[in-house]
Amino acid sequence: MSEGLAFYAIFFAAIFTNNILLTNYLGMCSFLAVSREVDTSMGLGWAVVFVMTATSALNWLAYHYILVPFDLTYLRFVVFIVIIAAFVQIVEMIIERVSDKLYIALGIFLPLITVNCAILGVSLFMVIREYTFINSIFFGLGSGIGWMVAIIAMAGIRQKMARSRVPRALVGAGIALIIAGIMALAFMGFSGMIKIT
Amino acid sequence: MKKESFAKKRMYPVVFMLLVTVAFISVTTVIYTFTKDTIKLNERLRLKQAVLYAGGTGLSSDPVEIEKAFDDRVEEIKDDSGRVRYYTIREEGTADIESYVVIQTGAGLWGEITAGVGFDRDLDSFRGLEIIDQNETPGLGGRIDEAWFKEQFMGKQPPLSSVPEGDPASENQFQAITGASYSTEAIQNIVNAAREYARTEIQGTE
Amino acid sequence: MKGYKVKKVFLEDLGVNNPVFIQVLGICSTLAVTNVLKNTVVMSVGLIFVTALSNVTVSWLRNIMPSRIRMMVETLIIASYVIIVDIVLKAYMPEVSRQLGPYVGLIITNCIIMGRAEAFALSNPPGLSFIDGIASGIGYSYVLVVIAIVRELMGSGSIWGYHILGDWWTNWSIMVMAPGAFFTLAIFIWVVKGIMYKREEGRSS
Repeated sequence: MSEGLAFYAIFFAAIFTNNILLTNYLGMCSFLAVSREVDTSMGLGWAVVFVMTATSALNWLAYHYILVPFDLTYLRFVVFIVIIAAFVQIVEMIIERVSDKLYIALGIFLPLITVNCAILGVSLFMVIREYTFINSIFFGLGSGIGWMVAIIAMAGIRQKMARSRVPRALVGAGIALIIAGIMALAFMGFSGMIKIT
Repeated sequence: MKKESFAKKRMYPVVFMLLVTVAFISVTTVIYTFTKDTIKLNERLRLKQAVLYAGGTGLSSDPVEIEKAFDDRVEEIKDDSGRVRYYTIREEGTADIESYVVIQTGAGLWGEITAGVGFDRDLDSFRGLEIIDQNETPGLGGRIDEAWFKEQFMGKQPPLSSVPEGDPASENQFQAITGASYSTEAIQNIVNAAREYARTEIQGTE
Repeated sequence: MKGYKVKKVFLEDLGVNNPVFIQVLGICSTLAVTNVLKNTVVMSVGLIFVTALSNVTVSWLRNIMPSRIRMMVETLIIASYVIIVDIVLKAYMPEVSRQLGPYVGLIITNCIIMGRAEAFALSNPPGLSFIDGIASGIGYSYVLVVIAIVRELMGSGSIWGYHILGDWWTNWSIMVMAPGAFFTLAIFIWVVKGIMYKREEGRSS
């Protein structure tokens, strides 16, 4: 591992300059479907942050301590997705027992997360980019926060636009994509502020 | 009777899942075992091709030609632990060294970039550059793998710096990629680091 | 009757039911590679393959599959087919495999595959499910191929890696970067939906 890739650089890059949603289009499905209200988006955002960080750590361990030693790396897709699904299930059960409040806040979003491309995406990127354990955790955390920032901003804009007159053929997905495009442009303005060398 | 149906209800999904898992994993494992050698061979071939390309030999990407040229002309210079330090390429049909190739890794925008960098026998100019592994953004930083970008390094002299894409470059300069300043900088660092490495490793021993 | 049904399924998936512009599903994994046409086509072929075969498999198992673990089984089936695609690419098209990187694996989470398995394969026989898989795969792919052509032509002045536009063309870097995909897809949806609405109006008046 080259010393150049510091964890804080990866962390900030994942939030701003290389936002997983706005530059890699991962997690678009729930992005377009859920991002109509700020509150719901925030709930889903927190759930994604939590699951992404934890599963990137778990998947890193599974990859480097189980798959690599036994030459089973070609099975990583299955293993990653099973770990993510199992983790989400367990968290859902624990939250249900421990706190009603938390369950109402996060619980309903958890099933949505298993099929969120961004979660699996983070795990796959982290493996292909050969991050260290610490870097992977911060990459997961940063990507989660970046995703949350994007979805909340999107929801805020869409709430404001609820009464705007949008061309009929653009209502719904069309206008959402245009907003996302403009947001992606805005986020590109961050590049240059953080430097990974 | 109630207990039995309970057991059936609980056990059936688990058994079913297990069977499906075993079935699919066996299928993929079989396919993997059959293609494993091809994949390994591909990777090895890729390295050989990169070494020859970076060495400026101007060979096509025909696998047979590459295998033959690599066997005939390339020598791996290893250290005591068996790690390859650099490659030497001989001129066709002679014992004279035509070029040296160093495999250099450096930090890119997203992950590491591994490249083969070739030098002429006096180590004072570049013979070529070949990207072996990179995770840059496709279509942007990923363009470091495009032919026009790699070809421009031939004959350039270290240390290199970059000029904007499309501008004329002197012999110490190469054209950057628009919109991919980090990837460009990464390549600049890699070629210059490779030159440093070559100077200490190759000149130091001969 | 059967032939009629096959045709209906096929046409609906390509047009009125097209997953991309009606439901905006599954653009996540593939949109990212649409700045280069070649990668898009390879991804699309992989996607059609996975959608069709996972549809067939789910349809086969639909009567014996316990409904509680349905999603898990479906994911497993899809993941296995994606692994096969990945291995085949690595073995026979190493160049393309290198460029696509992690995106091949992301076919797993593509909502379209899961969506078709849930909505169609669970209640239809294997043959028809296969047709549905192919058709939704193609319906999805041609949208992406159009986007890829626009993006590669305007962003790099080339198509399939061959330079089409001469030196007079200034590359629109923005088309290669992320926002380009959003705008292109939005405009595409705009045009298609606009035509649809026009037709509906024409029919009703």
